[in-house]
Amino acid sequence: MPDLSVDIGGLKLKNPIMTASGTFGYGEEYASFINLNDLGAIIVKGLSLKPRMGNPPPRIIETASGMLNAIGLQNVGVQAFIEKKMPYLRTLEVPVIANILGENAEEYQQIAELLSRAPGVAALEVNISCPNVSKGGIAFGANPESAMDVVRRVKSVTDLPVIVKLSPNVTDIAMIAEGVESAGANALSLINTITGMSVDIERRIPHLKNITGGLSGPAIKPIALRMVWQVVNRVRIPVIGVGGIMDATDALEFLIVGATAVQIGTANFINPQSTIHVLNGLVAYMEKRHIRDIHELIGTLTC
Amino acid sequence: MKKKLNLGSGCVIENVNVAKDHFVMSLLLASTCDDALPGQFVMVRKQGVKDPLLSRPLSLYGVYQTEAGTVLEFLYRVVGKGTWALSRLTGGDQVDILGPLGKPFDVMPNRNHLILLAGGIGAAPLAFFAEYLAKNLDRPEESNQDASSSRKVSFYLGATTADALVGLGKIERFCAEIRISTDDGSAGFTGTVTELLQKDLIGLDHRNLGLYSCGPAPMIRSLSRLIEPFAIPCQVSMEERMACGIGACLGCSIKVRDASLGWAYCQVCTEGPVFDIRELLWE
Repeated sequence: MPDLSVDIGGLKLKNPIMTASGTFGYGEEYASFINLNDLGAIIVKGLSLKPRMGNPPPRIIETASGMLNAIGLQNVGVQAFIEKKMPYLRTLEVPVIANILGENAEEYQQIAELLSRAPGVAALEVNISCPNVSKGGIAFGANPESAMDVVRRVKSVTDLPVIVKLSPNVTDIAMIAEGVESAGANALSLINTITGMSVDIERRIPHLKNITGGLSGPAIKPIALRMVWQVVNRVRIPVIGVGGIMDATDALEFLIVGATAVQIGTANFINPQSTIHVLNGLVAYMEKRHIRDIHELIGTLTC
Repeated sequence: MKKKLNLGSGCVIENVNVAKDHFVMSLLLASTCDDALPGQFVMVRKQGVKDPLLSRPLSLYGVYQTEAGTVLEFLYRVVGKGTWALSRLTGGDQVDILGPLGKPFDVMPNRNHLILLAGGIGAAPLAFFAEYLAKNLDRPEESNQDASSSRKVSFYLGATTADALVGLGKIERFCAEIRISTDDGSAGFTGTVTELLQKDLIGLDHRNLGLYSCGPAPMIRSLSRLIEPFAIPCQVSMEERMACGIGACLGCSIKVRDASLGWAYCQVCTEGPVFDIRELLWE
């Protein structure tokens, strides 16, 4: 068995396969399909200070090799997460990463503080990029100053590793990446969904009630890969690749480009065992080529 | 821990075009499934393709245990590229399946006249339910209600036009009474199936009635208005777009009553698809 362990800004993972926030519920939803402890880490549904109802339906529509979603960050809120979801998650051995989102910089700080006191949270992933809610993360992720402000505030109240999830809906993602690195981020994850839309030509209305939504799935993988490649060349902290990974080949592309780990998102919807299939495929690839350590793969792209 | 879900593959036995845009697909499962109930659904997708990407939730139209294994039957309508791709499948093609999922219809106790009210493709889960009710009547150990031996099942089926009345073959085998409506009058009563029920309700003993329904949202909405003044219990099967079917994507939310908040969104996949009609809220 090759060594798959990686270090994400101080967080040790036994393998680089993580679940993307918002595609894996609070973990328990997938417990009847896979052994959750086989994963590198679980990233749970994004948490806000107060519970959020989410957007009115229709919330999803399939597009070419992808899907648009405008769930509206529906979640139980940080308090209920700690009281009702953490007890189950603490029974697992797998590291649990809490994804957090705020309507203003103070909220990010408050949520980070609450989660840092809750036993069982291994790291924070700061969502500065969700494009779905008008008062949501978009303003933070779109410019370096507001993104850096959020990161500094979160870092000031936590000792947990802080991963910052970047938005692709920007002109220069590497510039934002450099900014949040200098503000103290321990790792980056990218990309979040790409804002898109789809129209019902019979009724001449948007397919989504929210009008626009976040595009995910295989359709966005080339864009995600390009952005990861740009960012790994500009920062020193670990980068987690996410965007349209469906199988081990997709995951390997991200690792070769320089991602230290990957997140599986939309693929969880199509096959709830996708994470394990990717992991098994990765191991098979390494064994076939006698690669004994995953670091012999990471960032080995020849251009 | 939830019960074990059937995740795996199925092989298309046949996929028959039964009416314009309507198909009946039967799948032979790779593993046995003996706990599928009417009202439940299965996520189905063509194996090995990325476009269409997502599975489609199809409600069960029939389940049979054969010597070769479990056969699942689906009656579905082509509405978009996902169902269109499913309709192109032929015998021998492989599909990925996940299910059975969701809450089934509950057999109401102490109701000896059950009315199953279907609009269009809504006939699929209700025809399976009619079959289930008829078959369980023949099993004394399961007919635990005093009323079950004398239970009557009426099937109300409405469609836009006679050509779109689907599932009748199965319905005729298992229901004592069938009432038909079409919007254009090409078969049965002219008007909606809810209007037909409204007319019939006058002569029926409401204390004996139990209602089950599945159909387009406007139909369910007018049904909820129709029975509001009456104490007739009614279970409805709802349909929404969904990506995962297991409560993770939160794509299939509908608005329901909530005791503490007034209203809340809940997931059709895990908290439905069968709901008490009086739990639903309309915009």
